[in-house]
Amino acid sequence: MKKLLLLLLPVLFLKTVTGQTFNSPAEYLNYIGLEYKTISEGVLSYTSAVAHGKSARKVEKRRTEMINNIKEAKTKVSKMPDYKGNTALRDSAVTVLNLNYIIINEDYAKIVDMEAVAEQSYDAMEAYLLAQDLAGDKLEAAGNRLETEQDKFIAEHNITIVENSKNDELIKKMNTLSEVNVYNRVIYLIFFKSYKQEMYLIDAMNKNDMSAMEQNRTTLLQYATEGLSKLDTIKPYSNDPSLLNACKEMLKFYQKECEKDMPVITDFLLKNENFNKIKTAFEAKKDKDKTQKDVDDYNNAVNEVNTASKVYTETNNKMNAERKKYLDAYNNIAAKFMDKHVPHFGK
Amino acid sequence: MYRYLLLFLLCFFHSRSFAQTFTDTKLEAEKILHLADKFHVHPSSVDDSLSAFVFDHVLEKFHENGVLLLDKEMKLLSPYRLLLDDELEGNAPWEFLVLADSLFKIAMERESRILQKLSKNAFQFEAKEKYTPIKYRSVKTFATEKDLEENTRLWFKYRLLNDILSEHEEAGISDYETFLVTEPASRKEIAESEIEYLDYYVKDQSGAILSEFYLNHLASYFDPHTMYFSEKEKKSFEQELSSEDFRFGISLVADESGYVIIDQLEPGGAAWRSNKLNKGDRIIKLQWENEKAVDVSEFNLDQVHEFLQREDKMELTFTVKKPNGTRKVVVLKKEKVALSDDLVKSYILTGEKKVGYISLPDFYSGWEGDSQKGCANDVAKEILKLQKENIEGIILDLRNNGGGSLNEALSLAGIFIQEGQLAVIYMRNNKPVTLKDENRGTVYNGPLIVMINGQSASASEILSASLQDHRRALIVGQTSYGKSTGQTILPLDSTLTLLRIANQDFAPNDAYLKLTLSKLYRIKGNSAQKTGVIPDVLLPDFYSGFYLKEMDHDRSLSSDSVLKKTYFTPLAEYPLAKLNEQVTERMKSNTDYQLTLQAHDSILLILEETKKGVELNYDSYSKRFHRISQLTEKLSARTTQENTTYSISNTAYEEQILQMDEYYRELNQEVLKDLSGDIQLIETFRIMNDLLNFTKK
Repeated sequence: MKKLLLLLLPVLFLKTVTGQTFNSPAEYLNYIGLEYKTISEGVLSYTSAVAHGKSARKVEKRRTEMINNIKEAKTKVSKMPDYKGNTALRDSAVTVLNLNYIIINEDYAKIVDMEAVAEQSYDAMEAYLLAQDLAGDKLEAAGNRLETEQDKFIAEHNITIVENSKNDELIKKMNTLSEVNVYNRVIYLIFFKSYKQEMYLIDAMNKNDMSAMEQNRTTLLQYATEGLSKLDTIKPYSNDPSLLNACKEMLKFYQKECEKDMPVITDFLLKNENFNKIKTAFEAKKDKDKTQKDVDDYNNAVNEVNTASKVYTETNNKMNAERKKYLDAYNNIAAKFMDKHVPHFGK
Repeated sequence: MYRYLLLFLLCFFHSRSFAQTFTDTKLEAEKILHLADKFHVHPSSVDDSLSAFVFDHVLEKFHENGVLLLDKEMKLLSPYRLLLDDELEGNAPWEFLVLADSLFKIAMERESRILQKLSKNAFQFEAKEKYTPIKYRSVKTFATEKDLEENTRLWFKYRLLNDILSEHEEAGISDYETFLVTEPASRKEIAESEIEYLDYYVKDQSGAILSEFYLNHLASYFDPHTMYFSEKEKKSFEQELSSEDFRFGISLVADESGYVIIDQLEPGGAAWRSNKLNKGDRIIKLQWENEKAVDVSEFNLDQVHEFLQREDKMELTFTVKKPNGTRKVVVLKKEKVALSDDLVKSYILTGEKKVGYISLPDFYSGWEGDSQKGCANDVAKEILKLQKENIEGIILDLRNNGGGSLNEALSLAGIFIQEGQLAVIYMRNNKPVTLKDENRGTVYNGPLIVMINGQSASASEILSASLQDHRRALIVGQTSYGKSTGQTILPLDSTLTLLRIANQDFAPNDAYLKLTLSKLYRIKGNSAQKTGVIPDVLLPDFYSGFYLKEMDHDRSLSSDSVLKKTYFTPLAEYPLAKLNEQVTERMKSNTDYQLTLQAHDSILLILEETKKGVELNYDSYSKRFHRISQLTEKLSARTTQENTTYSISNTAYEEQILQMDEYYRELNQEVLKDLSGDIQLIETFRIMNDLLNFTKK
């Protein structure tokens, strides 16, 4: 699974304020803002590298830079003095930075009750996504608090906000990045839920475990159907329906697999097992005891299982080919989609 | 006087220079205590209570096996009643087993002599005298040898009456004259088989029998399911849990008079290949290796099945009576029989509604947890077959299912439950852990009834409790057995660690301990330990008072609860009040139920009277005997009328196989007949109809 970047950066910090003296409230605010600017640039640079197909080495280098930026900012901001007794702004900024740092390192246990998460989840992946959601909720709450503190600070000290064209560019890119990321994540999760469920189905098929096959089949059908109705409520991203459609195609394949193909598979497995029992019983009879009806019944059973076997093999091959086709298409389109919509940043 | 006896005993030891010192038994016992202390989920302390428990049980067990002691002999043993713990902890000399062994041997030799003497003269069957059978779990001792001999005489006469009447009833003979003609031969036969058993013990120089009883009871002090095994016994226990079972390859059935006869021989099985047993042979006597022969001629089918459920023995001597009146003795060893792919069969009950029926007698698993060979997968396959028949509901029958693999029970719950938590498991010094459905989704999500009874235990209870808590199934029948603990077989090795247990990292050993390591709880945190699973719809129990449940064992673990936050959403409630109302209404006019319950009460009454003594003159005894036979027959809970509630058939898949396989076709006919006359199933089918009608509204 691709790492989804879940950073929340209050963009207001990126707007500079008219300076007074070093010890002025504006200076104080700017100091925090500067740290956020560095972080935002790091994030953009990293995501841009990922989305536009830079080398793995480059991507990793930018990721390390991004993490270091947050770590340094955390230290710097937490060491700031209060401003005339006001510690709320600094502290809420530190909280947000701290949460950002934890989330980017995926160290969810620090902020989420992982035992409760595990109890409520089916598997490790579901637990991971649930932890991510819960962490996201925490970050959003902290972000809201920070914005409130920031507004209060600005009002208290009569600070005037001025525009800065260079920073405006950065803000715009950050906004776009956030939009693309959110859109992609929504679609991806719909796709992923079914994709992962199909893994369980395939695993059950490999183990020949009929009970698991049937259970996972009904669940995949349910997920794919739910996913499709969710997709119907989502609009194309700035007139680009490619990702949305690719996901729809994938889920339609899963639906067909569950409704049409899998029954052929289970039917054959049951028939084949039954045939083996008929065969054992037939072969256990001495030739002189075999009646014409026995021979006819046996031959019918042979024909029946052979026909079922042919259909089974065809269905299996077709399923595998189609699955590969739709998966490749989805992956290609998702990569192109990100390349097209994630803003370019950095070298 | 006692000094004289002790002196005599010492001489006795000398005369047998091989006298056992039971030092190996002590080492084994110490290991049992060590493992229990370290890993038992709720260990008991080693104290006088343990001592008394082991002492009493060892004596009772030998008493049952024909060890009758004089008061003065008992006086020598009783000081040890509270000393066994001290012996084990090294605070008292290791003496009890040595003394018991020699006293038991003296008693058995004496009993042999008495039987020998008694077998020489005919008994008087017109005399008015009574025999009081020894109470379960008690030891009777005698002031003089004469008293003891008198007791044996009465027992012998009682046994003789019983044996001959059983034989004669089968042969349709009921006159006193024939009885008298048969008597001498039967008398000789009984004495011989008894003496044979007693001699076996007396001649056993290894002390293995006493040692095994002692270690078994020491283990079971910790709870009724903690058991000691030798290597050989462990093997057969493991096979019991697996579908690749060792067995004799016979199936039994009760005939018209309630006698247990051989129904089928499994092709290729041990009985089949012995070439001595046939369909229709009546089981008269059974004798497990190293144990006393048991007269099972008066046993009902359940009792014989229960007798055969021995996980610790491999060899059994069958005495059967052929339809022509001759007897045959066959020693059979359990053998591994290649089984057909699935052991679970499904049937279609067609009446007001079309309902699928699946009976699961045991939660078997494949070797090393191979899920596709376990019972859950087999049940799933049967459900798929039933669904092709357009059934409207499924009845899953867990009656008499004593449990098995916990994993299979959870997988089976998963077949019916969408996803989520099913139960909670606790091991000592660990946090409770929830057990979950291993696969998302269901194989079947339609109406479901689970049938249980007082013999549904362990994994059966986990499954039914889980389905009940999720409100996924309506539970019908009788309150279940009440075992909510889990056992693991460990080698008797004091260096074991929890990690090695978890990784199954241990070498083969001479001896094993099946130890209770975990307690299981329902998802709400409460336990079915002792209390059992209480059905949503209760049906009368025809066997209450005839069998033991968890709460009847004095060392069973207490029922407690666990604090664990769980997340699950039960389905909608069942219209329980209405369902129960309709059952009560039907019961009023159900003569099958009434007759069976009357028979049940009458038998209980006879058993109660038996405590006061049984008349040993021919007339009274034969009256009592025939009365019990008649009542037992009624107790089989079969309908006396034609079943008009449903007709029963196989799935289309099964039909194909039936066409080809005559042996199976015969077997199948019996099953169909059986299910057609089962009055508990008939009522359950009606409950399913009610349920389906309610759901529609």
